[in-house]
Amino acid sequence: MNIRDQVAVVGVGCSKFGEHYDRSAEDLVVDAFAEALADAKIEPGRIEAAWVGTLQSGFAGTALADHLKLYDIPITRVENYCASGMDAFRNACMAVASGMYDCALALGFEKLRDSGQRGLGTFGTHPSSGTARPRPRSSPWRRTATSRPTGSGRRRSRRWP
Amino acid sequence: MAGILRAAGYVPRYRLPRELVAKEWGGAPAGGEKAVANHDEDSLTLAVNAAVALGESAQPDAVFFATTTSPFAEKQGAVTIATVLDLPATTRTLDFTDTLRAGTSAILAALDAIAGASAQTVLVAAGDCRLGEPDSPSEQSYGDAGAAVLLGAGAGAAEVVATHTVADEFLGTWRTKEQEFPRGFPGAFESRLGYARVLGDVVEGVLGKAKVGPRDLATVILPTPSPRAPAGVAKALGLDPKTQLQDGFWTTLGDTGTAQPLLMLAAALERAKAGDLLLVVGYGDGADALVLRATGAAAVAGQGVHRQIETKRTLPSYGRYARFRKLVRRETTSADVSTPVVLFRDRKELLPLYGGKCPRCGTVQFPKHRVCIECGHAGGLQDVKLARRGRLFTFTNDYLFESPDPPTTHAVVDLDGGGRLYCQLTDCEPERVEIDMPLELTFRKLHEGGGFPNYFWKARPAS
Repeated sequence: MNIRDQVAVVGVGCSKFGEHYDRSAEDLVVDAFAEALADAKIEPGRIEAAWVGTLQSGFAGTALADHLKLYDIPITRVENYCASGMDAFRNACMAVASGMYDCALALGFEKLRDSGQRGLGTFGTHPSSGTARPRPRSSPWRRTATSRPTGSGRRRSRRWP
Repeated sequence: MAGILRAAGYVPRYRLPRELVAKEWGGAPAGGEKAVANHDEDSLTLAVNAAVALGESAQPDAVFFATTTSPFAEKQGAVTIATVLDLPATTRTLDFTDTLRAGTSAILAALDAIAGASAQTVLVAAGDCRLGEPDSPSEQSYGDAGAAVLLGAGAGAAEVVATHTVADEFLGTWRTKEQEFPRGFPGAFESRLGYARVLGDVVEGVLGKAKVGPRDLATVILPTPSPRAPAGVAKALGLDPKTQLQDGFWTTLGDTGTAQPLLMLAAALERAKAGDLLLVVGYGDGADALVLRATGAAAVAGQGVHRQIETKRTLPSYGRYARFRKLVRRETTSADVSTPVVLFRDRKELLPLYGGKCPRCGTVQFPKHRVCIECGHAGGLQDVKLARRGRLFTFTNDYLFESPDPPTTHAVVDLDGGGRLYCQLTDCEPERVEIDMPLELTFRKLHEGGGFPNYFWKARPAS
């Protein structure tokens, strides 16, 4: 079996690189994702699974779930030293090539100067949900009854370009 | 003219019966109990919570922090108080330290700033967590508390009639940079030749300036390092110890250090009637004194000192106290992570507790994320100050979370006016925590990851 011609990169995005003392890992993740979405011209609701590569941040799949509000898809964190991002990409490619998903997200990020998160950088204070709702909220990206979008299926996005 | 606009005390919930200290080391208990700051409290959080109790609507031009036990040897505490209170960057901030009269000296400096018109209102917040050497009389004596006073032009609740200061070089009680515990010369050396002499001088001086006699005073606030110390001085000054002396709360809270005269003032103002004359004295390396005339206007903000003294939890053992104050330490290392960069970037969320409000759907949320949790708006959220009260949405008691006081209760709190805060509960009995119980937020030290105290808000049962 060959992966050639099985998978296409439909959109890419990249945050600014640098010493961003005024920006959090969340900012970098949101920036890269927004650019990739705009490049691909798709709605976030089309994304069926995600892989995130990060080593030192300590985040798991929550880095994408909480920051991108992608709450109802499987998200896998890949940790493979400096190859973490590339390995996230490789895993997303495999998932699409296998036929399991039509559209997957691969995202890598790192913020070595200030790994940690709001609520003072401990998992013990990680805010799971930020609004007063009677039950845990699923993604704001509405999905149709079938979880597998077809190529022509249009998903409703509230905001992402 | 200047006066006390408002005053508030902050008494930590925990008490250690002196009997438990005596039982631990042998010897006689000195009677009563002492206030013990929770393991997540220090002198700065005590002062912050007293300042918050004054009401966050006050907009002082200057904030003074008074303590002998600042969490930092280099790094100011007053600026943290000003930031929690969300005061503008033009606020004058300064720490008053190194002496137990730092609290009253900060008040005198505040009055000078008001008289010099460089400030309209000044906040003085004091907090002390003095650690008495284990198996010493000071261990039974010292208690922890905070107190805050708002001063301003105008009479307010108590007009300042006269002030007086005595500077006096005297090695009565001291602690060098190398010493962990304050120490004093044994015997009655300080009480006779320091305390009694200096208090006599300062009271005589201030009464002369105020042109009032000792018997004209309704309430006299004297430093209370031991339960009987003020009575002897009062008698020598021609005061009636039975009717004129304000309780220093030594028996119920202990010697609360820098905070003590401010805490006693807040307590005295709870009961002062219009026209009452009050004398306030702070002692240490000399003494400060003020004569105040109560106007009858309400001064006490928050809960009141007397009620906080009654609202308490008794520590079950000396060992628990030793853990709280790190007299015994665990060798296991903490996994807490923090960096000054995160504290800098999130300072508006961490200290004054701002959340985000979605400009599109109006949902209030915490933390202030880039993408709205409700509608997915990705254009950023607006700053919104979150309420300090709310109700418990859900919780779990975590027996594995490393703490000097397990279990740690993790809670999800729905704040009044919106916003859901994931935080820890403190000052609570885990077995009595209930869904929907009313909670109040309290400023605490969350952990010391990164090598510095990391402050944030916790919730506790509403009082």
